[in-house]
Amino acid sequence: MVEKRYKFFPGCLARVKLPHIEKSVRTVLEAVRVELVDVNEFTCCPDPVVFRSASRLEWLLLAGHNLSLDGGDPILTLCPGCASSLAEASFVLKNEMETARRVTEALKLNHEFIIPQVSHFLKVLAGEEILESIKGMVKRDLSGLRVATHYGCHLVRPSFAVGFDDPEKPKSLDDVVAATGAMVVEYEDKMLCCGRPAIDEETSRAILEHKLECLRDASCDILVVACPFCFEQFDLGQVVLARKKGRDYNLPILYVSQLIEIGMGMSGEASWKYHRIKPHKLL
Amino acid sequence: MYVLRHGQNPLYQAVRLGLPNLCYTCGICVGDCPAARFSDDFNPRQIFLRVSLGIADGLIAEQSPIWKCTTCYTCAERCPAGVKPVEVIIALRNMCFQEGIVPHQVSKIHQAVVTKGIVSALTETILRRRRELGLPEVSEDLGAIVKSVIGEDG
Ligand code: SF4
Ligand code: SF4
Repeated sequence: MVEKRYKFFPGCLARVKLPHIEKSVRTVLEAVRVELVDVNEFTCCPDPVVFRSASRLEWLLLAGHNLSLDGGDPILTLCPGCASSLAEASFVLKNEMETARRVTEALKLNHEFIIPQVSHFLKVLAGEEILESIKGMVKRDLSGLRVATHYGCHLVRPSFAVGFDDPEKPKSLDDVVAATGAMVVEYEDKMLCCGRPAIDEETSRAILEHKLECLRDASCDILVVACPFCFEQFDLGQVVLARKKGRDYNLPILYVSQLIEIGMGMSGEASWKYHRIKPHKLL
Repeated sequence: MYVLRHGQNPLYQAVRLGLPNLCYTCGICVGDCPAARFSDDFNPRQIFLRVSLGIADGLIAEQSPIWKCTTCYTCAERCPAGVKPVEVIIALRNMCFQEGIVPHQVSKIHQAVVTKGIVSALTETILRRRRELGLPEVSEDLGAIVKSVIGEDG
């Protein structure tokens, strides 16, 4: 049996808005025997969209703080934004001597502090051994369920820093969904961003609307995501589109761990009350 | 007017990471850019060409098109010349912050991180939900930690 130890980095959005998703990710990782260590002092990663927009140095300082906590165990994140921000900051700290000196001095760190590996939990789940153990634990027949997957951006990009899967044609999420026995359906513009990080609301909504149109054409039952921001954009975003534009897509969104819980026959349903669009088809 | 001069102006130094000089204007970064596809006045190639020509007028503003970028990194992955348009956009955003001209929702999130250590406040409802779900407490010191981390340089 696989046993691995990681420092768990839940990130902001799950902690402060979507705790049911944090619970689901922890449950699934425990089920596949991945040991998680909690670190109280983990702050915002910092967020690669807004906080990084403020100051490059502040971004590196806060990332440096999080990277330096609690020894050298690798970090496993719930959110691709955290993995991407921390991995890119690691890349800078490893390659820009002068910047690294400033950051380590400001943080009063040893210049040679060990920068831990950072990955999103999907990387662990999509590894061969754990994929097999997921298959072995599936109790429920999901073969009739048509599932579309949305990878989002930061899970695989920037590839030079994240180094996971293929930045253009990734397969990890599809592999994990397929391991539950559900049917993965393709759709147009699968790799297009969900739109959430655009600060300009109109742009954000226009991208979301296009994604939902493509998903409707694919007649899928649910959409599976691996990012809490994408989750919110698709789930809450549908309510906003219905209100503002009278569009009703009614597409339930599941976090990838929630689908695994359902496949394993665990009580994933309890958390559906926190979803705007309820996954009725699965009930 | 903003003029970015090579080697002299610190603002130019700020965008060096995006390597705008190497662009050969093929337009690949524009075709698959979500912000360019789904809005009227956003074009990553145009933005950093203006930067490499040294004219950032209209880009350092609350209404600047740079706030349409989703930071999806598609442009950086696809550029055949190794240019990273998104890095130029982020550097321009850094300049907006230095000037104190950023959209309201951006400064709100930034302030939340600086004061609370996380992107938004924990409500009573969520604290209760976390307890019901048996999740670990969220430390109340995160704001103080962020302040001490970015303090001197921030
Ligand atoms: S893809 Fe690269 S070389 Fe082509 S226009 Fe964009 S930045 Fe320039
Ligand atoms: S990172 Fe920004 S500029 Fe680059 S493709 Fe994405 S939205 Fe367009």
